[in-house]
Amino acid sequence: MPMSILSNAIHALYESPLPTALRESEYAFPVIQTIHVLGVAAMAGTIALVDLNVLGVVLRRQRPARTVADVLPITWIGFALAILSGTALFAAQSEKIWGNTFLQLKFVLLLIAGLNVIVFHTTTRKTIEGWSETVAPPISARASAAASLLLWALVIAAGRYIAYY
Amino acid sequence: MKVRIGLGIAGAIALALAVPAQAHHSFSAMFDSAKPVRLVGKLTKIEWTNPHSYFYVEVKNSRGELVNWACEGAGPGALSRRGFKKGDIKLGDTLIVDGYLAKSGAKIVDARRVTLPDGRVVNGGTPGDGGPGDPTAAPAGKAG
Repeated sequence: MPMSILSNAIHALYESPLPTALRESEYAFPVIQTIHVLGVAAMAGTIALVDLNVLGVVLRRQRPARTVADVLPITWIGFALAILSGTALFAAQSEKIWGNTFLQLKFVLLLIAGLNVIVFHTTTRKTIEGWSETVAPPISARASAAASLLLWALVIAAGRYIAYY
Repeated sequence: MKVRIGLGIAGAIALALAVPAQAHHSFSAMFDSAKPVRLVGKLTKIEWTNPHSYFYVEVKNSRGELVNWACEGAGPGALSRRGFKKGDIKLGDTLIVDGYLAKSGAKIVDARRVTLPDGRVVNGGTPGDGGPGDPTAAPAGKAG
């Protein structure tokens, strides 16, 4: 009965002290939601900057390798804020929302977007240093950048729709 | 192509900015403003929770059977600011809830107006949800 093990675990998480305190708080909950938005903005914003640079839309005179090096610390800070606040917000509402279609969709999209990040950093980024300033990046890199833009937009959209389903 | 990417980014940014509203879903996403209802019943369960609070009241239906209804209200912060504290109600209290039925037909109402056991009438609605008389921290008043 793996389903009941999962639902028992979710129940235990939901009823544990910290998630309960957050759920019943007057201020902490909206504060953590705000941190979540700031984290998402920092992470998705800097990722979009790199993607748009690879696609030749912004920072045209700067090579993507330089852009990645410049913004990656902010991407990581945003990721840390988003994952910590997101975990807290999920735990506080877990039993009510774990069956939510858009929450599940968001987790699947996060997984795919995360795999795209891993692919970028294990393959594209290794060759990125050698890219010429005058020749457009390879089609595989541009496809990955376009997919990244789309995936993060969909992650954010799915997250937003949790509350409307 | 570039325009489309630009729009995608603008959309993503707009969505990211809209995230604080996750504290509450809109009224019309769930409830029907054309179906007002008054529930009078004993309080069976309290969920003093973000992003919405829930009060469960046991109401007798037309066949004389007791039915448990969920009444959805604003979160703890908004309710407290209107003078409605968690300690103001306890299980077994009789509440009068004026609200709106769910579009889905589920036994859940949007608790727009809650009459507490001490006679105070509080606005239970979620601030900014666009529902009837959308409140922004309306103060608690005396009934009658």
